[in-house]
Amino acid sequence: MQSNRGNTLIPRYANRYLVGLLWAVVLGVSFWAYFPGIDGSYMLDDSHSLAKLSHLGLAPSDALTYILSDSSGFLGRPISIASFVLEQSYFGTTPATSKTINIFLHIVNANLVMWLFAILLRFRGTPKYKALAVACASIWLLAPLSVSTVLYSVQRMAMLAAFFSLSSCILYSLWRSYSIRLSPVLLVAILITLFFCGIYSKENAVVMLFFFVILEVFWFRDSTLTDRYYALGKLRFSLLFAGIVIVLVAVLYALWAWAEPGYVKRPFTMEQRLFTQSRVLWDYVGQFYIPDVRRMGLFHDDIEVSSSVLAPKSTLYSLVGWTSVLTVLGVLIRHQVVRLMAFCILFFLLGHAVESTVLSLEMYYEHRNYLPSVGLALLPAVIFRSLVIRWPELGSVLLAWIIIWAFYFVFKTSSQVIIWSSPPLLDVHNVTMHPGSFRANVSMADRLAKVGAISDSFEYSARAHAASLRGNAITPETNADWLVRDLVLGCVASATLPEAPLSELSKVGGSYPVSSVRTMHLLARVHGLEQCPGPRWDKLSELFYALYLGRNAQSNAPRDVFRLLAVIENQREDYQLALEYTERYLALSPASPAGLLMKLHFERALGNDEAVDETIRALLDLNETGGLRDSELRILSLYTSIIR
Amino acid sequence: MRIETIALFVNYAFLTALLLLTALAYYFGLPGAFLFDDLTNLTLNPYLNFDVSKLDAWRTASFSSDAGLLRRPISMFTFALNFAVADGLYPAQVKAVNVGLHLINGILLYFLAVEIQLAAYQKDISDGAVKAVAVVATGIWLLHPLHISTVMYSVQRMAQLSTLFVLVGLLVYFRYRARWSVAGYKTLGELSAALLWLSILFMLAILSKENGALLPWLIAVSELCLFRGRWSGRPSRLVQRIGVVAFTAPIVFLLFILFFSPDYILPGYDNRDFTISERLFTQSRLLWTYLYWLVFPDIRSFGLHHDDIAISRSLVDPMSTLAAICAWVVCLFLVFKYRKRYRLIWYALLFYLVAHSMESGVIALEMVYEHRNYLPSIALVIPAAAILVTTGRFIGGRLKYVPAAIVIVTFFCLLAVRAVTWSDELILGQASVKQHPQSPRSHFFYAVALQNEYFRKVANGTLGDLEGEALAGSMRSHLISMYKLDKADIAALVMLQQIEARYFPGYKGAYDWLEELERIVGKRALASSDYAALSVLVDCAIAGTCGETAKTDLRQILGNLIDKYPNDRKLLLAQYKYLAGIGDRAARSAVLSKLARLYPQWPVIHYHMIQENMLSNNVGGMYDNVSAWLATDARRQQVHLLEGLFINAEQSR
Repeated sequence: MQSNRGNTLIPRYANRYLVGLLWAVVLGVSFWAYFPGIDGSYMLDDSHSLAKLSHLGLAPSDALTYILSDSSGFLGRPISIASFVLEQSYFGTTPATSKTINIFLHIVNANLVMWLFAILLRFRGTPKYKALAVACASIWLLAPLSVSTVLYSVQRMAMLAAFFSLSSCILYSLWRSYSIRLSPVLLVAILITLFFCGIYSKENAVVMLFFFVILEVFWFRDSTLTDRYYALGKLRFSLLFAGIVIVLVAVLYALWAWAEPGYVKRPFTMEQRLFTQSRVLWDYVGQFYIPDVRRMGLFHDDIEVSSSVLAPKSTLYSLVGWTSVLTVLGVLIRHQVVRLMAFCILFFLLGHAVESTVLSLEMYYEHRNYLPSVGLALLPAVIFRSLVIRWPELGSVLLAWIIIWAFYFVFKTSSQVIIWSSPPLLDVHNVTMHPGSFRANVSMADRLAKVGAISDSFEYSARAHAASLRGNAITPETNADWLVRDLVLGCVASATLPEAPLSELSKVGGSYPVSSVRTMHLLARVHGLEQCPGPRWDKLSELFYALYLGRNAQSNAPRDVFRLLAVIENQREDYQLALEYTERYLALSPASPAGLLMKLHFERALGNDEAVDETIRALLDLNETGGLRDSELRILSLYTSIIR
Repeated sequence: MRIETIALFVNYAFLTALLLLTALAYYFGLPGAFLFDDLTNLTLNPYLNFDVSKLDAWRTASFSSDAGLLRRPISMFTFALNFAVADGLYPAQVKAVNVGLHLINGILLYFLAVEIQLAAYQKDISDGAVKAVAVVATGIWLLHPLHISTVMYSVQRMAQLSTLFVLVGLLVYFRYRARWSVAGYKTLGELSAALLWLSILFMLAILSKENGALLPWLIAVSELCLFRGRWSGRPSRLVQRIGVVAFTAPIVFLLFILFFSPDYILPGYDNRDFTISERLFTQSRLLWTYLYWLVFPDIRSFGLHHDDIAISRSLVDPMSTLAAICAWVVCLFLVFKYRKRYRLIWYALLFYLVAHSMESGVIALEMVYEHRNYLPSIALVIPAAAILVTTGRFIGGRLKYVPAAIVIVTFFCLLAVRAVTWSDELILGQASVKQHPQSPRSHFFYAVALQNEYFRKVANGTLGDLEGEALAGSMRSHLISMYKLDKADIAALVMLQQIEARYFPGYKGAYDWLEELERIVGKRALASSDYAALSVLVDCAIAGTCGETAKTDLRQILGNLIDKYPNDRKLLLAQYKYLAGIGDRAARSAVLSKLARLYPQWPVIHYHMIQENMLSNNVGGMYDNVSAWLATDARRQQVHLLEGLFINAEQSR
């Protein structure tokens, strides 16, 4: 290790306090920059995960059920949901509370990033490592790319996953750099705990395993273990990590096969996604280092999908770019500086392994960079280290430049936060900067409908429809979905179900006319809230009947569309139709407790006692196999007690 | 060792005394008002009246200046700090900060003067002499009465800050370069560190005011005149050549622009009543005038406005132009010839010319401003101080400090007198008119000062009838003087119309000012002050404070102007405001549509379009306007306004 060259003008202890003061200022400024963002609203996936929170009862069993029943990810993300439930219990869930907690969590994570950097840089004998760790962590903390994580309530999931991943990396690095003394068993136990906490916050935390590998292989590789841990030995470590690598490759292979069916619902193939991601990753890099905040936003579904290596040509350049980077790293890997750079670059790439590879997720989201960008923030520190070890006189000036860079980020982030703090402004920003985005146009149409601008709302709705047909990153929207959306918009804007889309809807047909559950959900909602009562609902009911239940009906729909049609008919007190839609729903999902409970309700309303008994039996059977939640069981018991 | 310590102590004591003297002299000027460009940049700048609790509002405040190409964010940030500290912009507080910056610049000059002398004389001069010269040079510069129009003219903090970073940049360069001239650079890292530090200071300087861009050129001047390629203890031909190339490159670049891409420069002259060659001819005279002011600070010829200066229409009109150019040629030739003997003078002269090259060169700025000498005078004071110190030595004995002391005390007195003049808007206006009776702007600003005094007294309830009449009469008389001096100036006519309608409603003077205005508009290119005057006229015509016929006359005036300049955006905007004022909705919509078509990037248009849509309850249209505005607002300067717009809309629903 190299000794640090102390500043001769300032005593060493003063230097330490100066670094501490600088970090305190950075944290304060970052909080100040983010704070106006708490005025923003819930958006996009927030409604899915957080909307039900306000209805949550006080009973602990309800909370536990809610925590364990989220369907956001593969593992249900109970830790993240628990954080929302706790938030609801103590503060009551409002967007402002969620966002404030996210801001604090971001600051906590920044402290972890700074700590990790300090450990890593000190281990590698970096001059001025504390100041450097502060400067580079400031870049990460203040990067405008993180705004769409911090101010997007539900992305607390990504933040918590990052929290546990960073904690585990810190623990491993502390142990590996002999800064703490832990028995290997305890270490492994804590790491496993953190790993599970991470993946139960969001599945991305699985990349933690990759991080241990690259930490060992690229950062701590040439550091021998002390006698105390000699039992593990260098060889055994190599074997252990070789094993982990093999397991990871196997997992990836399995994922490939497992992920492929998911592409059925996407307008692109797995190959096209991978090609596109090569471009997207470069774009993330650019947006991290030289942010163009005007392009940033919530929606990027207007991105051009790479249909082949040459379409668009930037795909080829991106692939060549990544290949070149990895080749250069591979060829020069024996040099320590290259190894450390490789660590940073691989941290970024492996951090994206879950969301930017084979899984059939959407193409582009800024929040996917929250954890991976830690690698990008460390890269300047590695370059700094190599330069300053050779030329110590560069230390202060390079630090000054990094701090100027962070300062430049402050203003970029603050302006982005102001846009995110105003829901209408964010909608306008999204649609202005991404006019080809389906989602941005839909969001704008909703916004305009809410302020009563019906024709403009229809205009944006039409643009959204056209964008969905034109783009290839999202599934093309059906005409019927567009028309149903226009019905909702018209209802919200003018308190009347509009005539034009209704007439148009009578002309649609085909095997899958309505496919958007979200739009149908909104239709059921406006009907339930009686936002636009009137006789046109009868006509709409007839139209849907003709489409799905009539004598010549041949159309199908996602099961939840039938459930929502049943809800609408229930609200209209046409229980026979509601029952028929429920039957269609149950045909697609026979063991659905919600479907069976609905059926029970409608059969009882129609006085079909036999059918009621049969349905109760089916539900009780389901309960015996643990298929009913507490809340569902309570509803069932209500019916059975009424019947008794 | 002990003697050296005492000498150093004495030196710093003198320096401290000079700083205190400077602070004292400027203290007299602190009560002065905001002036001229202070208004548009500071007090009337809506972004500087901001919510300090929002970090992003600091950003918009920092980038709110339209004055320069780079918007001078560092300077504007300091004004924002002023606003935040005092919860408003107050002249005394802003000026006090300027004084502080002036003192800091003085300290930097002291250290730079030491470095410059060491570089110029190497080992041929004693340490005591170097520091004595540095102290005297600092005193002369700090107390020079010419600099009051930088320090007490609030907005010129921009020039001060830019000078500050240039001085630090030069100091950094001299520190590194002095070492390299003896022992070369130790490592490539040291060279890179120097470049990186200089690049930071360069960035800070240009972000304070664009003059900071001269830092590299001034470094080249220092290299050419002082270090002369000395490297590792001996002359290096390579370094000499680099110095020559670095010095000539900006000249070549400028010539290249002038010959091959004049469009970068020439359009600026469209709104000026002089051409590029006329400006260059005039500047050749003015550079001598500035030099004269610096050497012989005759405060009677100083002032805020020098628009009474004769423009050189050709090489021989006036004849002094030719004389000035010839004098520069001869001077440069002589100084070049004797550059080895008078190295400091050679350096000072080149420094002076290069430091003036931006504001006294080809760019279509106004002709004269005293504050342009703030940086150029830096190097001049060093040979001047050297002459004073040498003269003192020549006299010898206890009288050796007398020449320098005389100059410093004289400068202090002159500065204090000037500071008192600048401490009151009325006194300053009166002095300007007296010293520059041929300056239309001096008359105008004195009239404005009188009007402010009038309003102040009305507000305080201390205005007697006779005094009111006297003030109004005085205003009118100065505006008439202004009009007589420059019959094409719109501002005088507008203000005369306002004053006569307001204070002398029944009075029928020798002129019908609006008729006169109708007659003269369009006869020369419109200047920015003309647009401002037209805007005032629109407001007062709509408010009915400019006379009964003003509305009808204004329609004709605007019509004539737009016939001549059909796509002039400021004229079209004035016409829109006029039509909005008289309630002609169809016509104003047509004008606004034309503006939106011609200038989709102009934020003002979007603002008015949003207003129109709000009036007609067209919410969708309003959203479209916001979208168009966001699309054109690349710097996100309007983001708070838009955010507030939605909050207001939400509240009104």
